[in-house]
Amino acid sequence: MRIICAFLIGIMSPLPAAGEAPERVVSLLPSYTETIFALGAGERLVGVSNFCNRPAAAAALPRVGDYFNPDIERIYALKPGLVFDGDWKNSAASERLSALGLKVVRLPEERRASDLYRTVRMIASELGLAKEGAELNARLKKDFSGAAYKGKRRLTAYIEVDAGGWSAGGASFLSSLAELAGADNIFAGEKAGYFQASWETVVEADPAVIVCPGGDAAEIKARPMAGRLRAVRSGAVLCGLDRDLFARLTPSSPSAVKALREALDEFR
Amino acid sequence: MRLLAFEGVSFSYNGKSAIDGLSFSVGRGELLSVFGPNGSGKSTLLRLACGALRPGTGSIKAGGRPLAGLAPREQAALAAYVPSEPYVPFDFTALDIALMGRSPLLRWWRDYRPEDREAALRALDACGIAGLAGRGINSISSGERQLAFLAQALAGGAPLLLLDEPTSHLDLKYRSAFFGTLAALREGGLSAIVVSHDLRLAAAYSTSALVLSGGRALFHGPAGEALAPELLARAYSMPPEAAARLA
Amino acid sequence: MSSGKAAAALLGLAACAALALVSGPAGADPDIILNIRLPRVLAAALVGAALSVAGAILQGVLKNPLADPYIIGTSSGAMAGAAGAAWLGLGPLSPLFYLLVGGGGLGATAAAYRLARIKGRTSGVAMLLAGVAVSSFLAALVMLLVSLDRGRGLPLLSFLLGTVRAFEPAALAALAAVTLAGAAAAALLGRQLDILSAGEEGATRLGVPVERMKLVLFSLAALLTAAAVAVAGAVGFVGLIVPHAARRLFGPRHAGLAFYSAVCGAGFLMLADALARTAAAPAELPAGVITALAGAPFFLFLLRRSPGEDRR
Repeated sequence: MRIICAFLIGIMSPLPAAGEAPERVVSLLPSYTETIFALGAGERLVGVSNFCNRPAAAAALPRVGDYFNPDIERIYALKPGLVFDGDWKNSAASERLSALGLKVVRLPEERRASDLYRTVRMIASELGLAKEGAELNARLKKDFSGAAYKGKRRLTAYIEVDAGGWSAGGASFLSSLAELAGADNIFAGEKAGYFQASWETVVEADPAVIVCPGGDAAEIKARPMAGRLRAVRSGAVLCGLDRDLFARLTPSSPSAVKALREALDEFR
Repeated sequence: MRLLAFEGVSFSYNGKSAIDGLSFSVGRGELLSVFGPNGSGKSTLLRLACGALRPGTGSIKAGGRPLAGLAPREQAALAAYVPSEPYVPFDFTALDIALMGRSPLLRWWRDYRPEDREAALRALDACGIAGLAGRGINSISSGERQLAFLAQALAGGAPLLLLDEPTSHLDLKYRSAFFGTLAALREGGLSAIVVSHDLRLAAAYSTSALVLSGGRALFHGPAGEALAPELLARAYSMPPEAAARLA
Repeated sequence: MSSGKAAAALLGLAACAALALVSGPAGADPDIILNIRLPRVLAAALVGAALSVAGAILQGVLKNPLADPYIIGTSSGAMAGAAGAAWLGLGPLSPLFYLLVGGGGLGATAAAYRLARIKGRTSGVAMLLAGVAVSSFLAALVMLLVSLDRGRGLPLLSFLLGTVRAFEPAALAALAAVTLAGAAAAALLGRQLDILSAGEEGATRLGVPVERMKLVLFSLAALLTAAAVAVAGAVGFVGLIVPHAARRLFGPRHAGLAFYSAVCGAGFLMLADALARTAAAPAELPAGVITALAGAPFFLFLLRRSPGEDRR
């Protein structure tokens, strides 16, 4: 019985033969979606996650659920030749998709800004766009270099990504993006990616700047002993930065670095 | 003056008659056993006597006054209830249990006073378990546990005790001892109404008996006469030869 | 209640407080101790006390040593209130947040009580079942919210686990008032609770208005729990373990139990929170994780000890 089903499924799904560049692609992470568009392959996307809102064209594409719980049926119905997923999260969905005969490429987690090049390279290679990938990476290298801070007046920074004291440790790309922008993360020595930080440690470290994209500045300033922090007294509580821009490592990240560097320049 | 008197009492649960035209009374120094099969109205009788239920017709008088008109404290001063096989999940001592019997005498915010403690100890002593005062209620034997609850009822000083099958879960030696204690207390002036399945034992220690069947009193008189085989046969719906062996 | 034991308990509490105040990744900096740790240690003490007293009350009323303060729906209601607040974009800075959370907790318990009340009587089993029903329903609702809107839902998860972090001083003051008044009320009602816990059959005859007393006690427990959850989220196991320990150490009489549960609960959570702060510094674990870790060995210990042993 199972063999018959597999046979029927096999005939009915127009999966491309191995070696052909896939024409129908589903991306389950916003950062991969952006990269695919940046490679000029945006028209190959047939489905994206609910969070994929950049570039603007991505917002118009069919939604297939969020990356924790993608809609397996919808993805299968789109008959993609390739699905891009992240390998650092709950993999049940990926396994089910593979079991249905779909090709799922799971990209490793990005822990440093430089991991972006690897992601670009891998996506490009899967799409048969190795040349475009190399060109994009070269451009990105230049953009990062242009956006980065090269001076001597570096600032110590506390990075908060989510309410409840969620901070970025040394193993997060956000930490290395901040580093490029001239901010030394006080928790750069922590091996964790993201963790809940102890407020008294922050107070003890007395960072020059607080980087809190999309956060609540009023709430931070109301915390005990916040009034004594250098960052609060000089007004260096940067919550106005675009949360999505800093939450993802994408070809837009050099502009994130630039935005952060310019915001920091005020306080050097 | 009768401690408790039922006059033509009837009670129904949802239209089903449980007690029908029941009349009896209990005086000082009287130990009344109540016999009858399940469903004959024994538990209903006790609950009516406790004031937990109100009679549909007829009247119940305690100490000559209508039971319904008495405040809970006054009711408690006249009659105390002895529960049967209560499950106590926490390890109170026998003294703690006996002390609870003093509760009806206190205002809700007050704690026990020295005289309450003394009364509780005296009650434990009257039941022969003064030595167990400091022992956990769950670490003594089942017979001793039941005696502790008897002491609880005594401690409040009420002249009438109401007991619902106090020995049903006890070993034989404890059953006998329990009724012995009860009888001794009766000689000291205490009165009691005991619902029991222990026909012979209860009858042996009681002064009077009430046999119920279908909510009516088949017999009310001296305890010794309650075990007449024809009477038991009618009450328990058994053949007379079998009933004869019960007596 | 012997004054010697009470003094010993209070001394232990002071020791726990001192230890908690000096523990933390930033060492013994007096400024930090005063401004950051003191309110936090105070909150931990109050939350621990409130939950423990609530647990003691419920274990007595439900005659079930395994009851915890969340069993009658209070924590799920508080979570639902917190979810509502998150949906409206309110955080711990706004007084409305606390009202929603506390109100949610009380409302859920009231619903459970209403459901459990059959012909004017609320049996322990009925209350338990109703509590479970209400809790499951509300928990599902909260999960629905979290999955629908991950952005607003994520901070909720942190709150759910139970953590003693930032809060308004006004909320802390309200919690203090509720905890102290609640513990005092529980102690006053100790005798009634003793009688209720030894069997409802005889309780009415012993002068305890059973249904009214149950309503009062459920309300008291719900109030204490709702206040604690509003400040610190649903910290687990405290309300379950501490009354047990207090009973073993100081006896089952509920008047004293209210006091000793409060004191032991305060000490326990202060220490758990101190550990949560230092074990993985500078990362902070939710205090609920530490209390849960303490829970497993506790249950094993319960299993091995036979019930009803002589105390002392």
